[in-house]
Amino acid sequence: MDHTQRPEESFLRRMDVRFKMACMAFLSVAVLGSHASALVFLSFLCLSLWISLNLRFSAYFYSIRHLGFLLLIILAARSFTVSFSYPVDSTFISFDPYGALDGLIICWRLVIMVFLGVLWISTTTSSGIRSAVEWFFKPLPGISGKKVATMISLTVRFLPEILQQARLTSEAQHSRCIQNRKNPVYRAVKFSIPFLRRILNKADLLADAMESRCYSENFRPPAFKTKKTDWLILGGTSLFTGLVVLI
Amino acid sequence: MIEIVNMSHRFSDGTPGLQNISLTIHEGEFIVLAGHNGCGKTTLFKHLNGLLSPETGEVKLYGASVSADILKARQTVGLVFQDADSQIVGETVYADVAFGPENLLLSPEEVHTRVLKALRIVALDHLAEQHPHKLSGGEKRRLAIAGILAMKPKILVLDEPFSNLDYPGVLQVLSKIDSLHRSGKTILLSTHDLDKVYGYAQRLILMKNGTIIGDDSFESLVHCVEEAGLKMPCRCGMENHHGSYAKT
Repeated sequence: MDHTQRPEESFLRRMDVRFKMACMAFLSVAVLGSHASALVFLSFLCLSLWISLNLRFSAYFYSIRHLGFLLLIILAARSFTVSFSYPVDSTFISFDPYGALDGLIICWRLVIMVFLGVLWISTTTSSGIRSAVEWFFKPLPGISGKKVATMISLTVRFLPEILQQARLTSEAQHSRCIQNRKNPVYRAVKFSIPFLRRILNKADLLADAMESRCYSENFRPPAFKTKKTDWLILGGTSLFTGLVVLI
Repeated sequence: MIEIVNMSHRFSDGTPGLQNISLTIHEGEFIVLAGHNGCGKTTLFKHLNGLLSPETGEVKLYGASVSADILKARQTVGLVFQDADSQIVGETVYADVAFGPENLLLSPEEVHTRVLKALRIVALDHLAEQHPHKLSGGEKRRLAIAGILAMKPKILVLDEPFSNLDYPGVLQVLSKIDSLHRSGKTILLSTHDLDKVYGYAQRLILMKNGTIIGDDSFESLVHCVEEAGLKMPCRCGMENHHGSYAKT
């Protein structure tokens, strides 16, 4: 997914990351408990935010095109019921309209979750996520917020590297006709060992590079800027979630 | 400025990495450390800012041992790694350059000033909001240099800065290194391709199997590089050829 489509002056981008994270958590709960009417409202909300951010639909849909197959499978699994007769002499597949409706609701929820995720990714920097996580973990005893935040930011930083190494390893093996080997275990072993070695090697290099630039856990504490609108948005979101859960 | 006294290093598997290295680096020098792959150039560099500790001997920075104040050593000696990709930690060009100054716990204003200045020096200021992984090879290498410059080091150590770069990339990086040297920075650079630094470097150090086999001015030592398993620069070979032709 193209993470560079970052609308600089959107209010979502300017929002305090802690508030945005809390709103995301509330909205996730609301989506899980929503039925058609609430989902319509959430869809309009997502769509208007998306349009206000001026994000390119085509690029994002292309990135998440494989999700369509998952949604189809869910819909099919919910829409059709298979009944067996005993002794096993016939199998009957029937269409269940209530199941189909159920499937549609689940798919709808998933699509909204994906939309929310894209909005979150497009308007939040990994350093912002790191700072917010650090802040949320601060009051918890026994867990170092700084460590968790560092692990998150490193994971975000390292994901493209892991994907690239996986692609390079796979290409190198395909160029030597690994596809002719039909045994999946053989292929998995031959792929995973060099892949892991490469990843660990890259991780070592990254650790060295960070250390040489004076990296330590005592990172400068993040500066958050909370505005009135942040409180208003959080209040509205929590009220909406409360209503969805209670009704 | 840097003094290495009889330093040796052994890897964790027992293989000797460096043996009895003694070296002095003076302020404002442009030094090339040359040797074939695996001769110990990167290992030596990692000792300069405390990423590795010597088994015997000592590395001194302005008279004080590197191990005594590693943080100061890392601010003074900026190390640019061979694999620029591995050095990138930020999600934007700006964030990556800001990584070092932020670790030094500088004020946000100071971080901002340093980042902009470093990006301007390497001519990447127009790409500040770009994702680093979308940069070209030469731009990534310049970004790695900017990340180090923002920490205001006195010595810039560059490990194979031209590896995997095309011709325009080499030119971009070389011109930045040259202008940094002209602005007063001490440059220590490793390479096995001396053609690229011919005419720029003042001093040449040759390494072979973890030891220093030659240390002299670039012009006088460049004729002996084949002893270290390196190719003599084309320009130098041409001069030799013309010289022998004139004699006949």
